[in-house]
Amino acid sequence: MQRTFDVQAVREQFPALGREYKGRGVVYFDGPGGSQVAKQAIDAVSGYMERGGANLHGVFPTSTETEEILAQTRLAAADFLGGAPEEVAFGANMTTLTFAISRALAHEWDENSEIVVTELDHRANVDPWLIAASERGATVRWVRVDPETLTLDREDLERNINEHTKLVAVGLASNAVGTVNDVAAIAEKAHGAGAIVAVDAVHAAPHIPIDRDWLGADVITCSAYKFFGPHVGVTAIKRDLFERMSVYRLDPAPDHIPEKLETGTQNHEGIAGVKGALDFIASLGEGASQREKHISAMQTIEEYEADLAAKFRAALGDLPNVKLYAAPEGVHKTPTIAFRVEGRTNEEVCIHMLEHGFFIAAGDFYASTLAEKLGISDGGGFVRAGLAPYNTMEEVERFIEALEGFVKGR
Amino acid sequence: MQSFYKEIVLDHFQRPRNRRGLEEADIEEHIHNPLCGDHVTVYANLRGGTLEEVSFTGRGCSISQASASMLTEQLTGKSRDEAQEKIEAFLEMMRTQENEELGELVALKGIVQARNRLRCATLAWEAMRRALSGL
Ligand SMILES: Cc1ncc(COP(=O)(O)O)c(C=O)c1O
Repeated sequence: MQRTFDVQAVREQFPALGREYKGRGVVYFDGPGGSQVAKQAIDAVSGYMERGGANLHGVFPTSTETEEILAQTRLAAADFLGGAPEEVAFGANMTTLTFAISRALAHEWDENSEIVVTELDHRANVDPWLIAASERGATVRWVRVDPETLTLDREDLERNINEHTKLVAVGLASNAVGTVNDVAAIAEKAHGAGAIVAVDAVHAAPHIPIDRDWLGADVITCSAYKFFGPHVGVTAIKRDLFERMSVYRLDPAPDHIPEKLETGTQNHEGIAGVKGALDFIASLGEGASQREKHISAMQTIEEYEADLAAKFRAALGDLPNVKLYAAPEGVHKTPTIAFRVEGRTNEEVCIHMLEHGFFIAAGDFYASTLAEKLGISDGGGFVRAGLAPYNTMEEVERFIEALEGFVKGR
Repeated sequence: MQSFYKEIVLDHFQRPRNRRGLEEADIEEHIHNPLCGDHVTVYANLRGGTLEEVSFTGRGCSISQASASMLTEQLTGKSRDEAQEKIEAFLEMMRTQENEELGELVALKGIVQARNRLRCATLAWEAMRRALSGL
């Protein structure tokens, strides 16, 4: 029902919202490119460095504290994604982690192997798998996206999965147009064929509750800079798979999970910040455990953002010369809204909106296969307005008004 | 004129009248427009045949919330019949053309051009209509 979401209280947790551009408060609609950072995350990053950092395995307090911080963040991330702490590994970002995971998993592939990727995905969940497949001589199968509905073609998916399939790589949500895929159903099909399922949750993580095992993901990867934290990648890999994965690592480095995937010295202050971001999210939820708080918080965020997005899409759909790219009603979507204005370049739109204080980006956002398919690659892709829990209905209305002025030449 | 209308609506949005929930009210009706994300609940008590303590809670765009605020002022102290008449007149205006007899409610008509916004403006009124017809 009407659970209250106190957006003003949330906004106070984001110092960057105090920023001004040409005398007016900035409106950040670029969350899908990277969210603003919560105060708790900022404090955790600087606090770590102020108190004194160190490398691991020392007997002295800064070292043992660092180990403790890593352990706490692993626990929090496991509670966020649904998994066990020892299944969680950190890395530079999702792309770098996916390269490491893909070349490890590819040890089990040969010329008879097949992998499945999608036309809807961000290329970070495509290209690392393509490269690994080509090195092993494995066959790549692409699942078609329906350019009308912006959803994956389920029949095509079923056709592409067979007893040779080793891996299915699919995004939980599209960072370009917001479509949320039915990953649980896809994973069921993939597992029926004995394939591993690698889920890109980078775009979904700040918007919807995630449960790795409910989704049927064997690997699920996200990036904290999209959910109010610093630039750190996080992955949760099912224990059995993780244990048998033969990763590229230095000989003296740990050979056990999860550390075996964490090459080199980790970004300790960043990982401290991830904990801060997850604590911030938990603070928006209710429940007895951290896991319950994360789920409840993400449900509340999802509900709040859905109302803003509904308003946004409905109003855009009414503007002349605006082409909205969105899956039809009834398809689950994140509050990420892609559009183009006929007769204007994306850059013109972004610059006009900037004059009104809106920070908004354009491009294919590495969902380049989708952009090609829609025939808008050469036209610079989409303009993308991405909402976050610190955005307000008033900001959405102001945006629509300013865009209306632009398309009507006022 | 358009900017005058805008001021009226903005005033109700920023300083909503009678925005509060009412416990154990005779009337409590929730309505949600999933198409544009607005929620409104209207409340009122019926005392000696007149509507008292008309109030609302909700969240959504400026038009939906301002319209609910206006409704509370317009319907307080009205009999059930008078309230129903007013609601019908308002909904009729929103479908057709400005009706000067409706006072500042005309501002809503002035602001709402696109069809999607029409539903925002009528949300609270539809909730109250439903509640009154069910009494
Ligand atoms: C859906 C999706 N996948 C993957 C990535 C890449 O993430 P990273 O920057 O952490 O490598 C992004 C980044 O925009 C994304 O939106």
